[in-house]
Amino acid sequence: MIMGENGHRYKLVLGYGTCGIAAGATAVKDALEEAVEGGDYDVDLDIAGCMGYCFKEPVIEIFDRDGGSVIYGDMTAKKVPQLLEEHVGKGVLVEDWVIKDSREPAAGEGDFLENQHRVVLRNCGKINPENIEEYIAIGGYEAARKALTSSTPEAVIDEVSASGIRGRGGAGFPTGTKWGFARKSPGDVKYLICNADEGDPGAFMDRSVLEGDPHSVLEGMILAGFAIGARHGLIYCRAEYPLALKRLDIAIEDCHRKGFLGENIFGTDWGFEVRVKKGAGAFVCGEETAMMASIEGQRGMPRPRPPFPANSGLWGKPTNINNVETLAAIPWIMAKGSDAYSAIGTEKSKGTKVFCLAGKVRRTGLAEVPMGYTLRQVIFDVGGGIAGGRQFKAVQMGGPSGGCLPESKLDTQVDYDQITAAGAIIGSGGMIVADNRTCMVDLARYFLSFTQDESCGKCTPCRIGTKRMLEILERICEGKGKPEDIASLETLADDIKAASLCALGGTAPNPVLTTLRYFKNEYEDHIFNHRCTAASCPALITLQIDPDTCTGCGACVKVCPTEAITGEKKQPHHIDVDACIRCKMCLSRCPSESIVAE
Amino acid sequence: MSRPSGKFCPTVPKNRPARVAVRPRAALTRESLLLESSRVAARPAAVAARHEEERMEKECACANRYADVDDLGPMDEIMEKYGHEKGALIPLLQEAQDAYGYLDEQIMRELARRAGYQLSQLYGVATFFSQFRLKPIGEYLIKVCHGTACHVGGATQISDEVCNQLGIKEGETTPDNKFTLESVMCLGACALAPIMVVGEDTHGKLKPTGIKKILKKYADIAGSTEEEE
Repeated sequence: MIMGENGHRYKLVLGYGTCGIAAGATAVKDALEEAVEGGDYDVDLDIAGCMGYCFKEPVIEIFDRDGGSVIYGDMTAKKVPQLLEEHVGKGVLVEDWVIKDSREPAAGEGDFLENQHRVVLRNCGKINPENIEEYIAIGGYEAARKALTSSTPEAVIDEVSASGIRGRGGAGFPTGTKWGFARKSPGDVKYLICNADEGDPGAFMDRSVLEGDPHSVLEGMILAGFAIGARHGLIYCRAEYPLALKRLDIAIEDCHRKGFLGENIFGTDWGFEVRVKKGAGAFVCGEETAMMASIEGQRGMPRPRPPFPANSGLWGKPTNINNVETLAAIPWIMAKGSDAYSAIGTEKSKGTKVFCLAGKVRRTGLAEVPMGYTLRQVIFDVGGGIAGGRQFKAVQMGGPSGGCLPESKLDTQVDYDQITAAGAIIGSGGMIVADNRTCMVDLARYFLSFTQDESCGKCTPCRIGTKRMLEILERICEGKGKPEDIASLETLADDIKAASLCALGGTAPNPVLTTLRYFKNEYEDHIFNHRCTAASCPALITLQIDPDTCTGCGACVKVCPTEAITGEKKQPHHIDVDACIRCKMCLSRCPSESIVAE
Repeated sequence: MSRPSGKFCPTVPKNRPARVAVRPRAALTRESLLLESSRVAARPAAVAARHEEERMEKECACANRYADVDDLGPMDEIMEKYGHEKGALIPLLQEAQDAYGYLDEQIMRELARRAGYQLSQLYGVATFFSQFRLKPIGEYLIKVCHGTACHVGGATQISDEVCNQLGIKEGETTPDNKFTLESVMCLGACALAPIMVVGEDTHGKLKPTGIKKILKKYADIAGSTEEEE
């Protein structure tokens, strides 16, 4: 609903993406509907995708007629009546729940957004993703209309090239150059694929964009299809994102109704179709040749390149593959001009990048920042620092293909080349923050177990090499590491990197290599001292009860599977170290946090 | 193992508290999402009645959630939709799994025969992708996320606690056929880590201590009198 459409004084927008729903937005929505239907409130209700405030979900933003707005966080159904009564009814803020007030933008949690620069997420949380009219009302589809009716494919490619945008899926290949290859490749039938197979654990920006602003992606696809000469578009989306799939279906249907998709779009003789292909759960399908195999109905295994997809891709036809985030930025570039985009960022990395802040950071959520921001700015200024007052230890970037950077690298600028030089990659943009309770050897083991599990098995270095590396890492975590293990890991890593067929294997050793580079002492501690300094690896810790703080409530006794905990009621308890299997169940049960792992 | 047939539906108490959502709002319609409420002059009673109606509809949908493997009715529909589409092997399997709950050998043989594939092709794809299951699952599929953020946030303890509460291991189904436990890679709600999905409801910011309460809710919904201890 567009502001003022029904002449109401306020417009209330509920964040209704997967994060919000998981945090209870459906109950809030029901309560809002009920209250507004029953009461006499001067308000319009609407939904939007994720605003990025994941740490405060469910989130409600209330706009007034003068253009001001207030965001409320941690909403529940119970809070709804009071919120409507005070804010909408009396025009008074409910101060305790406010997280951002447009009159004092940087106060409270406001600087989370104030420190960002939103290009890709420009509409997320602002418009109803299921209503095409809202997208059109803010100038949506104008860039596509203008290009198709009064420009040429070559001019579109030139504009995109001039903006300097590089592929946001991870590899960072210049988008304009990629389009140029596909344009020049001979063939009547060409395909455009939008890669929405966001398989990196820890990355969720593609989901947020598809859920919050699917039309930007579709408009980007229309422009890309026109530029390269593809009349067929496919969106390969994870099946794990049901809401994104649903909103895409609605958006595509609406586009057909409006004449933005189909034959003779925008009244021209150009036609473009978009279909959605649902993935079936395989990380390797984020690799372009594996993805195409899966679309063709085969096992999702990569093949050697060349031939590159631009020459021989889906069904042997020229194919261009772009990531969701890249495509969502295209309409902005076409509307505002390449200069506006290239003015943001560093010399070699232009524009903005969306990061998914998660892990032990205080404000988890979506952070879109200009390239060139330092990691410190992203984690501390936007992310608000480390949760629970603990100490920063490392930031993991780029998922299973990336690496972990320590505190000494916090002043590295976010830029494709600088992050790579530091030992990690920007990748798809996952940023998992680890504090001093996170064991870096265990984190490396975790990623290896992931890549080992997701290895398609086609080439030997990846299939067997990752298995051997995982065995070594498991051994180290269990306290059975051998002195030569570190050298073996390094040799294996080099071989796997050099000989693997695709990027999955080629980058699989990265988490191990960067943790070895920056946190070698932790490996040595595990192997030689049988100690896990983060008190995380079960085999290397001892659990004890602090007799000074233990209240003797007995909660730990009930959960201990081996009956290792004993003690009189209301008296300090004791753990029998020999009987303890270090499952840490008691640790999470203890109400007075008296159980210590060392 | 056979699927529980409609035995739970008649026993569902009618005055269940509104906050307990059974099958989440899977069938969110555009209309309901657009929240046209402010334009419609309906009274709260009408809203409550509509919610109750929606709720009952969802409850009854659980009764015959999946077709029996001998019932080839859904197969006809699937074939009509994807049978002649080039390369549509994955959608064929996805639809079949949606209809039958899992990919039974008999179903795969029939699909292969009708769509003109070799059984080995279907089996190859079905075993490659993690989405496909060759065994039936319980009434509620529990997916504990083990993405990076969830791992760092303690997903291992969450899985352990679920195993502990249900007395099963990962990949297993409870003897009463109510819960199947799976661990999955990133569900994309990292900011709420650690998370798990029960049926279609996502539960975030989990603590091992809260698992029992969550599971009990589903055990109750399913009309069970057994305590999940």
